[in-house]
Amino acid sequence: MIRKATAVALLIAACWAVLVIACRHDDALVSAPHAYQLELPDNFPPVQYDFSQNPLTKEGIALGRAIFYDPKLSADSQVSCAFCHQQYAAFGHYDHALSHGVYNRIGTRTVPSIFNMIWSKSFMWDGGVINLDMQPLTPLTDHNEMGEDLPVVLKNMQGNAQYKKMFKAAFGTEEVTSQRMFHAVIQFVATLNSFNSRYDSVMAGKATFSQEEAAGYQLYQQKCAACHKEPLFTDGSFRNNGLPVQPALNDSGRMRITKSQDDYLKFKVPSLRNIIRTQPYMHDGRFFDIYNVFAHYDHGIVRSATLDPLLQNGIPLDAGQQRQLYLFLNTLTDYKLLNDKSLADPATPQ
Amino acid sequence: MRRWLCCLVILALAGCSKSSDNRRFGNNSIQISISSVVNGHPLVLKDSTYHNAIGEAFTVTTFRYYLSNFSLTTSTGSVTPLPNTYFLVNEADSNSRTLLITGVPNDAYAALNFLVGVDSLTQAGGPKDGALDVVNGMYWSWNSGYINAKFEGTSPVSTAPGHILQFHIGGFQAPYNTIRSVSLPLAQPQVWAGGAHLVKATADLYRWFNVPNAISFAKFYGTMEPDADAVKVADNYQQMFTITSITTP
Repeated sequence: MIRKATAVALLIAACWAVLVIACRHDDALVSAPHAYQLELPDNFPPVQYDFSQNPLTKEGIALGRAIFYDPKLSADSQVSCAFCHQQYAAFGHYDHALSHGVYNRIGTRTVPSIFNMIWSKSFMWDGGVINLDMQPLTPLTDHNEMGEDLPVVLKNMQGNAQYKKMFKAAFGTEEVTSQRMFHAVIQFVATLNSFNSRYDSVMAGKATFSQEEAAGYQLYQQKCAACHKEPLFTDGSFRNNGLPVQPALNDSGRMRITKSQDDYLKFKVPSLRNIIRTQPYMHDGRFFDIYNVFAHYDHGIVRSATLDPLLQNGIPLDAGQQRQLYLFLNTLTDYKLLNDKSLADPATPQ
Repeated sequence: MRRWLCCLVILALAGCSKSSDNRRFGNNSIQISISSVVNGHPLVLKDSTYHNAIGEAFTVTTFRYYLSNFSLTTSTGSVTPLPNTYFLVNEADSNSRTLLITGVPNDAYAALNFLVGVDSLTQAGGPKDGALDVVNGMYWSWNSGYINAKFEGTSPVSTAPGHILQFHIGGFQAPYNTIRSVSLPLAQPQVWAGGAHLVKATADLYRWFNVPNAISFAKFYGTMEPDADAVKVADNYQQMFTITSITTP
């Protein structure tokens, strides 16, 4: 009898446990997304991105990462964000001078490396985009990039069970909207940050430069730091660095946005972080080797009305200095960014 | 049970956020009903031919614009803002030509004010939904900002391929700001003491090409970026609205 009672009690307990677990499972489906705290370095300036409008959550970042790596969102189902923004190239496009899009279309500028974007005030080589959340619209819809109409992109996601599940986890309901999609992508992009290079260890007093690296660092401070300002290694400004105009592209740079002659041939100063991994160089990828860049600054500057005042006399660099500068720039490679598995391709939603 | 509780909580939360978003103080509503015309003739998309001020023929395939930031001027000259008023008026969608604004306080009003276009703070901000969703095709991805107003059509004198006209008017930063402020006087100060008010207005596309900047389609078939030409068109479209009647309860 007692045994029977025990058995019944056990059965009831088991049923209760099953119910509780089932309910928990339900709770997980409708529970609020889990806040995600970004760890940022103390020596960096305050971020420009307004996280209050798009608070980071684990689920939002996971959704953004799935979108970032999904080629099916493009017109030919071949080109994801990550197609051009490769992790091993510090989220630039390795060995591609000009951006490469759907149906082998070629763009007119090189792919910018997209790390430390939350510190940036404007986006694109010409600063045409002024809000990070709106940035994904350009590559998704540009004819030479992913080449798809936004309503089609959203419709494809709306019909995908896994996306619906992920939107629900990130935003509370299955509804796929452009606003949610942009927010999710940028939540992932907000995690692509670079401040763990050997240079950073040296600055934190946890490592030391070799003699030649130290000499390179001094050269950088004398000759490069005015535009490629520490710790981001860019001041975010637009400058004409004296490149001869490529007639085939005839790119007027920031003037395309502002219509001001003063901005003719000005492009955004890129970060020098991870530079040894982000070749080719310049807004049009014309230099495939960092030594070509040194040569340009040493003796290739073309004078024009908008040439940056700091480059009026070029930047003289002899062979020994170029070697030292190279060895210093090499310390800006951030292996954590290049190898972090949480930034790599997840399973693409089927 | 827990599932139901969760659902209830979520519904309650959803209810909370909805009502706080739209909560206004006041018990008047305004329904603004806009008819599109070209120099007095009703606008018919695609099939009808019109003429601009210098006699060039044209047809209309697209006519869309943002109206935002509505406010009312009281008879004492103070301004009562009507928050969160953003509308995308689209000639191809008759529902979009009726604008409903609720929660207007009781007062005596002398003028209805609004912007043609989207205010600069919103233009520079992040992604929005509803009328401001970029999926509506009224936003430039390469040069951040909304297309405040869009007219497309054809004219035999247009030198563009297919003789098209493409006026995508946008830009919110000096010197190419195309947001325009409009103030329409109410015939006499109206005392509003609750109820639904019907405002009928016309939007005259003819005025886009007339005053102060007469536009010849032979010389100018449109623009699709913030520039000096866009500013000229914006100076014209500032004049396009007229209130034709107001019905108060």
